[in-house]
Amino acid sequence: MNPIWGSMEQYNPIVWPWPIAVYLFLAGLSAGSIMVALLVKWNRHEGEHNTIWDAMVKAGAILAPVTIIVGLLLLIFDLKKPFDFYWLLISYNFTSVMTLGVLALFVYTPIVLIFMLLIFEDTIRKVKLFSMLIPVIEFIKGFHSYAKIIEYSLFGIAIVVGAYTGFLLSAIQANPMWNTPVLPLLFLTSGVSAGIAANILVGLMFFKSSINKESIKYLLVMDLRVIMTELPLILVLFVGMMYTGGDSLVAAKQALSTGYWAKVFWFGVIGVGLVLPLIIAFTALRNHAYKVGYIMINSFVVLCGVMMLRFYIVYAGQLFTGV
Amino acid sequence: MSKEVNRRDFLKLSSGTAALVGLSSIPGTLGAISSEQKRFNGSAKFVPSVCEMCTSSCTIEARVENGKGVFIRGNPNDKSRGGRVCARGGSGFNQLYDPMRLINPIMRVGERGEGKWKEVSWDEAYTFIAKKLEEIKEKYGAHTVAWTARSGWTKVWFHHLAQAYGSPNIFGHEATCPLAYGMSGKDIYGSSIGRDFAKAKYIINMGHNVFEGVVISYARQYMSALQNGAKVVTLDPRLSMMAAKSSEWHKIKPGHDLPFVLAFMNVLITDELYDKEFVAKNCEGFEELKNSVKEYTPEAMAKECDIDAGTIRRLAHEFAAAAPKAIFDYGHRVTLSAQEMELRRAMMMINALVGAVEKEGGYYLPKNSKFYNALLGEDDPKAPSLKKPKTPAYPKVEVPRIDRIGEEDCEYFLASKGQGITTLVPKAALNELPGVPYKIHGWFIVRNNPVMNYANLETVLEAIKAMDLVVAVDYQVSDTAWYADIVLPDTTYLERDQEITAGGGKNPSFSIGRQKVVEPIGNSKPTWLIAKELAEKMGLGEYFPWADVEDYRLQQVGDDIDLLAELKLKGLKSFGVPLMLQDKKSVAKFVKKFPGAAAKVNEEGLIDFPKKIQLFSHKLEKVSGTGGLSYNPYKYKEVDELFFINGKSAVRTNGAGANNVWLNNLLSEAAAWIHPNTAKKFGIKDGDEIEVYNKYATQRGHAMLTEGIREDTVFAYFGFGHVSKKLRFSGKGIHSNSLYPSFTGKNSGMDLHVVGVKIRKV
Amino acid sequence: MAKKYGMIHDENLCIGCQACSIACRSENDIPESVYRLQVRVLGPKKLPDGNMIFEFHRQSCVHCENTPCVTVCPTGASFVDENGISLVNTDICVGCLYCNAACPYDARFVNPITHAPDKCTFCKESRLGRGEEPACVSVCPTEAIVFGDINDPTSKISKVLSQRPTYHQRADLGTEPKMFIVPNKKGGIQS
Ligand SMILES: Nc1nc2c(c(=O)[nH]1)N[C@H]1C(S)=C(S)[C@@H](COP(=O)(O)OP(=O)(O)OC[C@H]3O[C@@H](n4cnc5c(=O)[nH]c(N)nc54)[C@H](O)[C@@H]3O)O[C@H]1N2
Ligand SMILES: Nc1nc2c(c(=O)[nH]1)N[C@H]1C(S)=C(S)[C@@H](COP(=O)(O)OP(=O)(O)OC[C@H]3O[C@@H](n4cnc5c(=O)[nH]c(N)nc54)[C@H](O)[C@@H]3O)O[C@H]1N2
Ligand code: SF4
Ligand code: SF4
Ligand code: SF4
Ligand code: SF4
Ligand code: SF4
Ligand SMILES: [Mo]
Repeated sequence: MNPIWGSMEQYNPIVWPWPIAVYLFLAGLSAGSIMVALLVKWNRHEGEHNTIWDAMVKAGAILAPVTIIVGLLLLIFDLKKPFDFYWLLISYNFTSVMTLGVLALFVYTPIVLIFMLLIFEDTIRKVKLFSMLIPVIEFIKGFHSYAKIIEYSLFGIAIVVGAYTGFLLSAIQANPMWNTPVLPLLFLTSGVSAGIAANILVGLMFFKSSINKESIKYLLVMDLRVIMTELPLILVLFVGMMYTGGDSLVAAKQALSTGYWAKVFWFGVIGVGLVLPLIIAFTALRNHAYKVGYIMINSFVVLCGVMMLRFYIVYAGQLFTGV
Repeated sequence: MSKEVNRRDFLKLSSGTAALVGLSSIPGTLGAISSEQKRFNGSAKFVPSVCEMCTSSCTIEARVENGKGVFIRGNPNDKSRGGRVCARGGSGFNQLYDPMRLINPIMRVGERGEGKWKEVSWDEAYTFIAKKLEEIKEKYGAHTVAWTARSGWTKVWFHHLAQAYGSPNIFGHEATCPLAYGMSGKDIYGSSIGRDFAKAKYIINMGHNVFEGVVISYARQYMSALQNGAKVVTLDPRLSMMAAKSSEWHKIKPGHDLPFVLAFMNVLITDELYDKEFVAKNCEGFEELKNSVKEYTPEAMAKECDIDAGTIRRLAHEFAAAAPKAIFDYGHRVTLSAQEMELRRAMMMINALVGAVEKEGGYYLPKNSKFYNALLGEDDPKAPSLKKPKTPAYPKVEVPRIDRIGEEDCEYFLASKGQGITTLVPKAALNELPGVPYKIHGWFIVRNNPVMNYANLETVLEAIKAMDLVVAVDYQVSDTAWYADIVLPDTTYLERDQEITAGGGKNPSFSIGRQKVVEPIGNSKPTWLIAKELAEKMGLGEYFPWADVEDYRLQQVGDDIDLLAELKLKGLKSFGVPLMLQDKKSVAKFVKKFPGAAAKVNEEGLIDFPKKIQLFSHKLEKVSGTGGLSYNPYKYKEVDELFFINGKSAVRTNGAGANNVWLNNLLSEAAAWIHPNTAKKFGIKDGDEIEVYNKYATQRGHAMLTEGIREDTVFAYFGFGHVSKKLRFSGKGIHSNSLYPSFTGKNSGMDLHVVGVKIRKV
Repeated sequence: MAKKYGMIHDENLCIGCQACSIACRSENDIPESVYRLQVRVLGPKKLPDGNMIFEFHRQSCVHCENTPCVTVCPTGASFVDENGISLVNTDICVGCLYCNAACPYDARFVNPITHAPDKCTFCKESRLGRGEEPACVSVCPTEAIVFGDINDPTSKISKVLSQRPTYHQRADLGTEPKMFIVPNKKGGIQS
């Protein structure tokens, strides 16, 4: 029968397009890199330097605020009514994961900014342009007795931010690939993975003087573990869908087997994002070899993989609903 | 009560898309004027009127809604339509403000069909037309100008003007649509005949698709019959909406309905299933009929119509068992075979054979005031009768009409002069027709679109190009207007008042016609005014002795001002009670209401038919030897061709829909329906661009594969593939009539909408 | 007692004519490019007895009892009114389209003029206030749509609901739509 009911354009299943995928990636990365920076700061004391000068801490301190702000700008720019975005700040709905996310980011973003100011205090003091920030830093330092608590809370909120990107999608019942408790865990772990990779990359590129080989090795080991948890999580995601049956089963089958997005999954998410880093880890970087070139390639590959995972989940999750 | 809404405000509100940009390249169209002028005044209260998005003429009411536009709905006072409208009816507002509608007269400055126009004043337009008509009159005679006006309201004015001018060649659209069944009714029952679908228990439907070719009252009646458990058997070569809703669907071979009906009739008679008593009492010519269908056994006809003999027998038996609550539906667009006259007569006779006439759930005679009043006693109140204002006699014409209606031996004698055989006009412009000593040199076309709607586009275009004058009166630059010399902008139906109409179903009824909901936009004028002003320019003003429609209406009702007032308020009115002559209960009710009618009731408590039902036509026999029924196989296609058929889509009206955005957005192109097995043979896949072609034309469209069609048939919705380049949605899909032959049905004059085509992937 | 508005779409009576879609557009000023309502004509489907039918799918908001769209909306712009009608307050909507993503019925679209999600409102703003039935209901030639208060046992909708079997689209989601569908009897989905 002819479609005599008019255009189907408005029924495009992709309601949330690429900026959302990128945002989810950036938010996860932000949370991951600040968590990594904090871990390094807390755990790597044995070197001669104060860990605060560790390149990994610096990288995290700068990456976390920059990525979350870019991500948020992207998100606002993607709103259909970007100039009304302030309503997000004044009108709340506590059943909405987005509201909870907004609240978390409301706390998270200023703290990562403050963290950055403190870590880069010396630089700021040296550069004239930033002189107006000095009183701010002085003011914050007045609270130094709470430093540890704030750092711990930051770590906690970072976990919330990292996981919320998954909850944001998992709240959507109509999309079986999203509507699973695995998603927050998956997004959190892959966010940490991206945080590690990004910190290493930025550290190696911009803060060479303060690189601490041990920190890097520590992170590489950690990354390996994270990646090894991601694989089973993805497995659980699909097994869960298949086990649910019905639309979910259909959706899972389609998402793994049809068209462009199935290719992205197998080659991008699994191949590039998970298998390739493992290969690099067990070959070029075996026994914690310190080869800067490979380390950078490895980090880049991990980032690509995480990005593709976000794209895959966002697009395939909307396209393949099993109905 | 009057509300003013600025068009610009309205657009801001309602039209997100920039649909208006770059459309107004034809001078004289609405899009070409500045937005300040695009205001409308109208009534904020619902005004009863009549829809004209198609000629089903449903009763509606409409109002101007603050800040929005015009909302249209069915008239709730009308029981038969239940206050409902279809998609097209609901889109009337879209037509009112279509940027492509014409609001000034335009005159051709280039070649015909070249699309070069200039805007002219009404006075220039009238002067031009009057001068041209005078020239033709002097050179060839007034009779060489044909006047075609679509049935109903515009006809009154322009047929009147034509005859005042001196031309007998006046036509409606009928020969392209319903003529053969109208003629059949007249021949068999003495008048047209109604169908009481809602109460029927069994209906045979042969290509009457009221669920897409919408007539609201029919659609509702069919649906209530189905809801009440009636059996509907549909014979259609494709799965129409009617077929899909029916109890049974049979894929009859296109063009071959007649063999089925004859075999059906044969079974009724041979198996003695017919109502002998009814036939003996009320019919004439049964023996002749019996003889004429003797040879058409189901076994002999099965191969022709592709319905097996057993099924034909079964259906005939079931039908007879259900009678008199049984209807053999005689259809609506009756252009499906080469023998329409035989086909529709045969269908109509079946209800007489089973005695299902003037009984609930069967056929009934339409009862206008004259019919009804004739049954009443002297003291009973009478149904009002409308009067015709007195006008001078028309000049006498010595030559025959091109269809020779009015001549003693005319084969189309069953058509009235106002119907005529309009499809002969193109033929008569190209050649002198037998017995007609002249050619047609001018065509005055009102509310009719031959370029889209007459079979064989090539002939129509050739004829138009050969003429000295072509005038179109339309609200838009239709495909026909595109080829005209001058186009006069009519108002749309929401902007005009019209005369009262009278008719009757089971009892007499009256309708106000149309009432103005909004003031006319731009310089458009209602047809009554165009006819009157043009007449004045031609020196024929005395033929139009009324000031306006209100004056005309007053002359129609005579002293009965109350009738007029009530009609204006409610839109419609009926008189008396429904009456079925052969139904005891109904007759009893009628007599209770009108005691004087008792004199007409016979001993059985029924009222006799005013005229015997004719199962054999002596006049047809005399004129062309076709008094009985006979089947003459006709070659619609070559062996290696497929049948091509078409039909209405629920969201488009005939050939008039190419400017309406709302409707075109629903369905912008009609795909060709092809059976998957057929498509496979031609290597065609769903959605492929294809060509449908035959010796007359090649048309492009997209393929839609569906099991809902015969393997030897291609179907497309009608009304696409417009030729005017300036319609908003022109050029898309298949122009059916370019593929159909130039054909004139014997005795009926009907066009033919079944032909052979081939298909190929492009 | 508060009203609980609901609607029935009877596939047996529907002829896919789109009169409802046009009436909605006309009455509610729906921009040309978008639809609050479409009636999809699907098929043909072959029945065991050899007959073929079309199926009629009304595509519009089904006015869920449990509204995913409201649950996810971060600003409260998506809400349900006192009579059970799911609505959008465009003033406080930010256009995040979380609701669009959450609606399992594809009922929402972005209105090109307000830039906010738009959807069937049961004609609350245009007709209910005037005491009229929704536009689509009022024009449907075959009366395939019934609208009314489910809480009122004397309403037409309650009567039809008590007489005819109905089903919900995607009942598995637990959204409890207030759009009831009378299945095509000929189709034998449920009889
Ligand atoms: N191949 C094929 N041919 C067919 C048919 C088919 O199914 N297939 N159908 C046949 C049938 S059933 C019919 S009835 C005929 C119909 O043929 P037409 O009588 O030509 O009918 P329409 O296309 O409905 O409208 C004719 C013109 O009237 C104009 N019009 C509409 N409203 C108004 C108005 O208010 N005032 C004026 N002045 N003009 C107005 C339209 O713009 C259009 O150009 O076509 C027949 N031709
Ligand atoms: N939406 C809409 N409604 C309309 C109109 C419109 O243009 N659009 N026009 C109005 C007018 S003017 C008219 S006359 C009526 C027409 O109303 P109908 O006559 O009911 O409609 P059509 O669609 O022209 O044709 C009816 C059916 O005939 C089938 N058919 C084609 N060839 C054959 C054949 O050889 N044998 C058999 N048995 N069937 C065949 C077609 O598949 C189609 O389903 O509709 C009126 N209502
Ligand atoms: S069938 Fe539709 S378009 Fe035709 S008159 Fe009736 S409401 Fe108007
Ligand atoms: S108006 Fe009625 S019959 Fe037509 S498509 Fe809508 S619901 Fe179906
Ligand atoms: S788009 Fe508007 S209504 Fe929808 S969830 Fe976002 S804020 Fe709420
Ligand atoms: S159908 Fe969609 S928009 Fe309507 S109430 Fe349910 S979730 Fe909300
Ligand atoms: S109820 Fe009103 S808003 Fe909803 S689809 Fe019908 S006409 Fe449109
Ligand atoms: Mo017609």
